[in-house]
Amino acid sequence: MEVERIEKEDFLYRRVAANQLNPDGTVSSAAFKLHGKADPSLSVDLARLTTPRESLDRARNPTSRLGQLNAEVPIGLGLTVRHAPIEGNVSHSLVEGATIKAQYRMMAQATILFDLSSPQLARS
Amino acid sequence: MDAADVEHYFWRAAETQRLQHRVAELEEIVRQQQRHTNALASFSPATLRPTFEQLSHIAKLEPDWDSYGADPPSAAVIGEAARLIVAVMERFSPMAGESARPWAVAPFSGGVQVEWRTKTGALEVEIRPGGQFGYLLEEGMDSNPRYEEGDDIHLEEVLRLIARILQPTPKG
Repeated sequence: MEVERIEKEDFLYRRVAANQLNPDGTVSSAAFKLHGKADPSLSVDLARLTTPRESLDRARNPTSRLGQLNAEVPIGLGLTVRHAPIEGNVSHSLVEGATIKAQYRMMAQATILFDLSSPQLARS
Repeated sequence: MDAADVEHYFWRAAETQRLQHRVAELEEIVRQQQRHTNALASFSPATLRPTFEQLSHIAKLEPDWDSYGADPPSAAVIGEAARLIVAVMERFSPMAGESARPWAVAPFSGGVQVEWRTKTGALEVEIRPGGQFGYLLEEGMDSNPRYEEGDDIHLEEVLRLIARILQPTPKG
């Protein structure tokens, strides 16, 4: 599998558990933390190599939601976003280099959830 | 009603019973802490029922609950989160009222994050797998927020940070 270069214009998908949503419907930064610290190697899917439905279906829990983030956000925060395909998921990518929690709070604030009724989440 | 419906009904009933039992346990933590500190009951344990129900749901998470391999928070972490929330309510609810109640509670791998939010700032407190506290403080809440963060702090330090957003020092 050829490794793609991820540009600022790309979009990333990140699954979010239902209990990681804030009361106002935004995404909690907890969705980006590992053991209470900024996850130094955060898994995401590269949008142009998958579909929202396919990405969401990787969650076993049917209440999971799907968030979309412009790659420009982590890149602008000084993080590295690289394509890292794995078996069964060619879109798998990593956001690397986070050292402070504020970086992920800002990423959470910039993440937009797909509406559950979105046609993009419809099963074909 | 077929066999699957009956099974589902009994499963839901058992889950509800377990949840109610867990909420009762957490409310008992409140009463114990109030007795321990000899605090005047400035709030009713029922005030925290929605928060404790969220904690009870988090306590039931299974391995890989986030589809990225997350660990479920331990019972000790859930208990520590409940104790923190009660300590904040006891200290601040007499003057801050509803603002002393957490704005959001969310799990991360192995732990729980509790967030307080006011017009002047927000404080995320992480209760990590070993029970240690970490935090991220955001002050300003405008187009130019200021951040401060740290790890391995004690409860008293967490309470001082919460005081900064619940009782901000007047400028000038």
